Amino acid sequence: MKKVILLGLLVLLHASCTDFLEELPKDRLTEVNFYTTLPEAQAAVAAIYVPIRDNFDDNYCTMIDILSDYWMGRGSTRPMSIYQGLDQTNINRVSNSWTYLYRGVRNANIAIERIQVMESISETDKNVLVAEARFLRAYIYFKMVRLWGAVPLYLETTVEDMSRKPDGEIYAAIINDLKQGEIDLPPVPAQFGHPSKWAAKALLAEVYLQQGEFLLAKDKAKEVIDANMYSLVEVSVADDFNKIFGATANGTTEEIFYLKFSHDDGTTYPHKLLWDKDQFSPYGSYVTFGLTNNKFLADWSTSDLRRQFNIFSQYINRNTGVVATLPSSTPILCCKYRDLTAPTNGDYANDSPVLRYADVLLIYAEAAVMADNTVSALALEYLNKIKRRGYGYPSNTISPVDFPSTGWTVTSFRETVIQERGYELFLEGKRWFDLKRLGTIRMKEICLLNKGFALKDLHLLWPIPQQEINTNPDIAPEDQNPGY
Amino acid sequence: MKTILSMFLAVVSIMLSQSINAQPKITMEENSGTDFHDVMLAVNTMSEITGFEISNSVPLYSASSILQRKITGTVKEKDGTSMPGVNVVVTGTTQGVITDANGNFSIEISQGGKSLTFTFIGMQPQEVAIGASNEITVTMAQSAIDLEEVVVIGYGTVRKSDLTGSVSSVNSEAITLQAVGNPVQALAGVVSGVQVLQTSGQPGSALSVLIRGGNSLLGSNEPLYIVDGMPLAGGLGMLNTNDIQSIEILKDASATAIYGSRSANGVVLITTKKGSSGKTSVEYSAYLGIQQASKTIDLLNGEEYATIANIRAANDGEAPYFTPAQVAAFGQGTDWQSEIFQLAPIQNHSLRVYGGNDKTTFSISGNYFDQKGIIVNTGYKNTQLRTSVETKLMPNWRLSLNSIISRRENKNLLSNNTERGRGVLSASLADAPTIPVRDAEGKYTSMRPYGFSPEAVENAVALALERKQQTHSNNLNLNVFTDGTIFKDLRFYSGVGLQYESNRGDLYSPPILLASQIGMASISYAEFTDIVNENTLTYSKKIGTDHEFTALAGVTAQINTSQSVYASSTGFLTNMLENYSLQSGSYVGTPESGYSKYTLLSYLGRVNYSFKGKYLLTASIRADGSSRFGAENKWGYFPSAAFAWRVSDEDFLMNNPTLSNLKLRASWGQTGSTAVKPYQSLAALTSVRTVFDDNIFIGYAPGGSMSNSKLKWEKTDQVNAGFDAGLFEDRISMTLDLYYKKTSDILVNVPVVLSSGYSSQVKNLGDMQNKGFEFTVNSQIIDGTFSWNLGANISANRNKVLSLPEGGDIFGESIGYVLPSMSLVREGYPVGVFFGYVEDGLTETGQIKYVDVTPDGNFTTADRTIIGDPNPDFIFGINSDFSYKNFDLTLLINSVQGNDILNYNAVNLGDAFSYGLNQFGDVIKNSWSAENPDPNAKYPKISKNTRFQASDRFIEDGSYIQLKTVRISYTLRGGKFESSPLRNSQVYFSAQNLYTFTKYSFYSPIQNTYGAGISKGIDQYGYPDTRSFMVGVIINL
Repeated sequence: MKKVILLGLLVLLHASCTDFLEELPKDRLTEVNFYTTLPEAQAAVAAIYVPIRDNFDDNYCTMIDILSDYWMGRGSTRPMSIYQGLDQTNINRVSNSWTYLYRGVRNANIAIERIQVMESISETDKNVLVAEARFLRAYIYFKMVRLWGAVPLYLETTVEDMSRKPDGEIYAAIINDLKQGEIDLPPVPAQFGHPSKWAAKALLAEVYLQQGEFLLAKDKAKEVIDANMYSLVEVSVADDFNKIFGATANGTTEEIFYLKFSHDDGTTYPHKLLWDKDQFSPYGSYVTFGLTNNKFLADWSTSDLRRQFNIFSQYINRNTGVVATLPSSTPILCCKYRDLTAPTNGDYANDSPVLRYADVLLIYAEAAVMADNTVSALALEYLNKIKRRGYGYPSNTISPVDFPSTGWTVTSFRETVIQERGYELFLEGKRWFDLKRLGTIRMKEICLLNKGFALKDLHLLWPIPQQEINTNPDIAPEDQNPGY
Repeated sequence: MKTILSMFLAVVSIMLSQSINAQPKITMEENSGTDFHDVMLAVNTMSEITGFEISNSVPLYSASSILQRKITGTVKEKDGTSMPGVNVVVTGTTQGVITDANGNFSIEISQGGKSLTFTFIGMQPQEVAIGASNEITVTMAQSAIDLEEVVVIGYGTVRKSDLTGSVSSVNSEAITLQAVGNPVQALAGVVSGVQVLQTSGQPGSALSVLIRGGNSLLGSNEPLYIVDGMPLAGGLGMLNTNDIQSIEILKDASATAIYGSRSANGVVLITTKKGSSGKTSVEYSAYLGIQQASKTIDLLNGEEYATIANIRAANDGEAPYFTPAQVAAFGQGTDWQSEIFQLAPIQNHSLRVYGGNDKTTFSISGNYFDQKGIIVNTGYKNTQLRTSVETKLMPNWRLSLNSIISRRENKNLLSNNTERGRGVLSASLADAPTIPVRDAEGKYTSMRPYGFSPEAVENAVALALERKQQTHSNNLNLNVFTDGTIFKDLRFYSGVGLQYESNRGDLYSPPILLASQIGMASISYAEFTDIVNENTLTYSKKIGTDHEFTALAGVTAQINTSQSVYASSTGFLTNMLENYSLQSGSYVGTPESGYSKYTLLSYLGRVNYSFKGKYLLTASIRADGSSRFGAENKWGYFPSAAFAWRVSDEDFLMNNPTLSNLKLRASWGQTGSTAVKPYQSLAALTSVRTVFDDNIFIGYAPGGSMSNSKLKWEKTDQVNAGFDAGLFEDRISMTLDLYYKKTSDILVNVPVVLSSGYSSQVKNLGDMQNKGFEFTVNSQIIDGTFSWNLGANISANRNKVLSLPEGGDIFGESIGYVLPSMSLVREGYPVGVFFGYVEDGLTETGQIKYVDVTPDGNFTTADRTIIGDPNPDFIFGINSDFSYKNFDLTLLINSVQGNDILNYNAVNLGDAFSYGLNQFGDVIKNSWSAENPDPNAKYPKISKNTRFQASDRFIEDGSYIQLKTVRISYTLRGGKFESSPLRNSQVYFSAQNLYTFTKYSFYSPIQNTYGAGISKGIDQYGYPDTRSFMVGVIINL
C-alpha cells in the first residue's frame, strides 16, 4: 500500500509542475524585460554601432576603396576593382552590407521607439539618446542612398510600404534626423565615438554637398569650423600622422566622429592592407594594393608626407631587420593604419574616421566654390591648410607648397579640392563618393585615366540583394538596379 | 560471460514456457509479459534456485510420479563448450531440471519417461530417447534464428517471436569483434539500414549514425541513445565495447514512437553487462596492435616542384625561379607525409569481476583504451570504471545501481576543413618538398622562401608538434532504480538517472606558427548535467489460453542543464607556460560564458496483445512536453500501432519441412525530432560590444534571426512492412523490411525581408521523405566440426526533399577560400546533392571550359546544375565465420555503393600551381601546355592566372568495399579444456581495414569532414583512415 501512495505522490509531483516547461534563460535577456533603465537605454543605442562596425570590418572597408580610381583588390576582390562586374562572391559581400546596414536601422528604430516611451529616465537623457539613434540612422541611410540609390525607408521598426523610396525621400529623412541632432546632441560627446551636435552638422554638410545643395553645405561646414572646437593636428615628419591614425590616437583635435576600435574589440582592416612581414603590424594579408603605373599614385609627390605615411613599396622585415621590396604582384601597399601590438589580426586599435576636421575644411572649400561660383580666399585658405599640413608645414602659415591664388576656374578648383581629398582622406572610404559627385561622365574619365580600366555603369549602384527581392512584396525583380 | 547469458536465457525460456507450471513463489505466469524489468527481476529471483553454488543440477519442478531411475549427463555445444542453464524435461511431462554451471544435469525419471527434451534459447530443441545407459551426453545445435531470444525494446523487453516492430540486435561478441574506440563504429556493415559516418579518422573523433536516412536539415540526425533504460546525452564514446551486453537498434515507428519527440532518427538501446549469483568470475581481455596510414598520396618531389615553378614562371612570362642546376639538386626533397605519419600503437585492457549471492549480485569492470594517432602528436585515451550492483530488498522487489565513470583524453590536430597549408595534413601535402623540415641550426624552416610561396602555409611538422590542442572529458553516468510487484500482475518501476559530463579544451598555438604570430592560448570549459526520472507501471495478464496482454503506463521527466566558460589571451614571451597561465599574455581576450537548460515532461502508454500467440498487436502513445518548443506548441503526441502474424504457427504451415518460421509485420507511427534549440523560440536580446574612447561598451539588440513562438518538433510518419522467415529448421533465416517515412514540419531557416533588419526566421516548414528496404540473411552453411556461418545485409534508402519554403534552395556550408557551397538542398532531390558547373574540356589557352547549361551564351551562376549525390544507392555488409575445432576465422566486409564525394583536396593539390602549393604527382605530365595543347588534358594550364570554379572536376565516385575485419582466433574449448579453469579463453590475431576497394583518389572514402548533415560527403583534409594489426587475448577465470 505504501508503494501505491508513493506512486500517487510521484504522479502528483509531475502534475504539479506546471512551470516545468517554461523557459527562463539565464545567459540572455528577452525583449519583454528590457528597456526600462538608463543603462538599458544606452545599451539599446550602443547596439546600433555594432552592425555599422561589422559592416565596415567585414568587406565594406575594402570594397569601397577598391572601387575607386587609385586602389586594387587581390584575389576574389579583383573583379570589382577592375570594373569587371560583380561575381557571386562580391554580390554576396554587397548583400551582407545591405543586411548589416539595415540591422543598424532596425536597432536604431527599436531604440527610438522603446526609449521614447520609457518613463524612468529624464527627458534630457531621452532626447540625447533618441537623437544619437537618429544620427546613426541618418548616417546609415546616407551610405545606402549613395550605394544603392532608392532603398526601402524604415523610420519605424515595421512599415507598411517596403518599396524602394526615391533618393529625395531618403535624403529628406536623413536631413530631418540630423537636424534633430543639431538640437538635441551635446556639444561634447560623453566619450569619443558618440556623435556631438557638431558631428550632426558636419554630416549634414556632407549630405548637402552630395545632394548638390552647395550653399547649405558651405554654411553648415562653416558652422563647424567657426565653432572653434576643432583644429588640424600639426605634422612635421611623416610618422607624425600616427598621432591621427595610430592605434593609440583618441580624441585628437581633428576627431569629429569616428568608428572606434581598441585592442579589446578591434578592426581587421589594417590586416587586410598590410604585408605579413612588414614593420607596421604583426599580421597582414594585403588583400588590397596599389599599382605603380596607377596615375593617381604615380603623380603623388614623394615629398607629400601623406604619401610617405600612407603607402610603401619597401619594408623592413620585422623579424630579420632586412629591407625587402614588395613583390610585383602587390607592389604598393597601404600602411596608414599601423599597430605593432595588435593582439590578433582582427583586433587592430586604429579608429576609422567618418568625419574628420580636415574633411570639413575640404567640404567647405568644395561647397564654397560651387555655391559662390568663384574661388574665395577662404576656400583657398582651407584647401591650402590641408596641403601645408600634408607636406609638413604649419597649416596656418603660407608655405612653399601653397596653391596659386589665381588662375582657377570653378571646375579646376573643385577638382583640385577633390584631388586633395584623395590624398588627405586616402583609404578613408570617401573617394568613390567624391568621384560620384563629379557626375558619371567625369567619374568614368578619371577612373580610366588613373586606373586604366573602364568603369561600367553597373558599378554606379550596387545590386539589391536577391533575398530582398524574393521576400519583399513591394520590390519586384524589375526594380533591381540596372546591370544585375 | 557466456554463463550469465545462459543463465539469463534459461530463466527467460522457463518463464515463457507455457507447458510448465510455475511455482507460485516465482510467479511465472505473471512474468510472462514483456517488461524488461520483470525479466530482470525474475532472473534474480530464479538465481536463488539456479545458483552456481549448487554444484549438481537442481530439481525445478516437483515430480509427482514415483521415482524410478536417475539419469545424469552433460549438455554441450558443438564446439564442446558446456552449456549451463539448459532445460531438461521428461518429454510430455512437466518434470524437469536445468543444467548447472558445467552443463551437467541429473534427473530422476518416472516409469513413463521415454525420452528427455532439451531446450535452450537460440538452440534447436533436442529430444533424446532414454536408452539403457544412465549417462547421456547431448550436443545442441544453434538455431539460426533465435525465436525465443529476448529483445530489449523501449521500456521493456519482448520475445523476439512476439516482436511487432523492426528491431535489430547486436550481441556482445559482434561488438567486441573489432578494435574500436567508440561502440557505434562496430555497427557499420553489421546492422542493415545503419550507416556510420565519421568526420575524421583521428582517434576519438565524432561519429554520426544514420538510421534509415536523415530526417532533419537544421537538427541532429543522430539516433537517441538509451543506456540501461536511461537516455544518454551525448554519444556513446564514454562506453567501452567490453561493457556492452547487447545493442538493439529500433528502426520503425512502432518500436521508436514510445520515445516520442526524440525518436524520429531511430533509437539505440544499450544493455550493459550485469553480475550474476554464483562463484566470482574474472574476465580479462586485451589487445595490442599497430596502426599505419592505409594510403599515401603521390605528390611532386623536390625536383618536380622546382620544375613546375619554372613552368608557371614561363607560362606567366616571368623569369625562371630556379636554374637547371638548382632544379636538379633538389632531387627527391622532403617527403612531408612521411614526416608527419607514424606507426602508431593501439591497446585495450578490460578487466571484469562479477558474481554475487542469492541476494546481491555485482559486476565491476575497468577498461583502458589507448590509441595513438597515425599522425604525430595525436591520440585518444579512454579510461572507465563501471559498477553494477543489484540487491533484493524483498523477495519480489529489487534495488539496482549502475554507474560508469570515464575519462577521455584527446590530443587533436588542426586538420579537418583547413586548406592551403593551414592545417597539418593540408600543410604536409602543400609544403614545398624543396625545403627541409629544419634548417642547419635545427630551427623549423619557413615555408615561404620563394616569391611564389603560398601566403599562409605552415611548416607541417611545426604545426603538428608545437601546437597543443587537447580535450579532456570526465563523465559520470549513474542510474539507480527499484522495481517489483505491487500486487499480482501489476509491477512498478521507478528510476533516476544522472549524467554529468565536463569537457575541458586546451589550446596553445606558439608564435612560430603564422596563424599565431604572438602566441595564442585558450581554455574552454563546459559541463552538463542531465537528470531523468522515469516511472512505469506494467500490468500483464493472461486470460484463458488465448488472450495475453501487457499494458504499460509511465511518466518521465528530464532536466538538462549546460554551462560553458571560455578564456583566451595572446602575446606570450615564452612557450613554456603553454595555456596554463592565461594572465601571462599581453592581451586578454574577452571571456565568454553560456548557460542553457531544457526540460522534457512525458506521459507514455503501450498495450501489447497477443491472440493465440499468433496474432500480435502493439499500440503505443507518448505525450511529450518540451521547454524547447514554442509557447504555442508545448505538447506533442506520438502514436503508433503495429500488427504481426506468426503465419508459421497456423495449421497449414505447422511442421512445414521448408518454411520453419514466418512472421509478417506491419506498423505505422508518428515520431518526432527536437531540432529546436533551447531559447530558440524566444525573442532574445544578445549582448554585443562596441567601443567608445578606448573602452568597451555593451549593447543589447535582437540577433539576425526573428523569433518564432510556434516552433515545434519535426514530425515523421513512418509505415513499415516486413517479414521474418526461417528455412530448413531455421538454418537460413531472413528479415525483410520496407519502409516509407515522411517528415513534415521540418525546421528551416526561412529568409525574411532583409530590410526589416532580420535575415531569417526558423519555421516548421519543410517536407522530406525517406523510403527504402533492408534485407538481412543469416545462414548456417556447413555444420559440424568444420562449420561455416554466413550472414549478409543490404539496405537502400532514397531520400527526397518534398517541399521547401517558397521552393527555395538551401545551401550547405561554404567551403574553403575558393569555392562557394556545393551542397544543396532542393525540392525533388536528396538532401545535400552537389551543385556546380559541368566542365567541357579546355580552351585554346588552356583554361577550363564550362557547359552552358542555360544556353544563353553566357557563363553565369545559372549554369550550375546537380553534379553529384553524396547519398549512397545502397549499403551492404557481409560477415562470415568459419570454425574448425578450436579455430575461428571471422571476416567482416562493409560496403557503401553509389555515393559521390566532393574531393576538396584537389582544389588545392591540382590547382595548376596557381598558389605555389605542392601538387599531385601527375600534374606536370597531365597539364595543358603550349607544346601539347590537349583540350582534354586532365589539368589546365599551369599558371597563377588559371582559375577553377565549383565544378564536377572535384566530384568523385565514393563507392567502396572495405575488408573491415579479419580475425583468427584459438579458443580453449571442448575436450581437455572443459575442466580447465581457463575454459573459453582465447588468443587471436586480427587485422582491421585491411584493404579498401575504391576508385576514390584521396586517402579514404569514409570521411565526412563537414558531418553527416546537409554538407555530407565532403572530404577536406580528413584525417586518414588507419589499417591496424592486433594480437589479443581473452582470459576467463
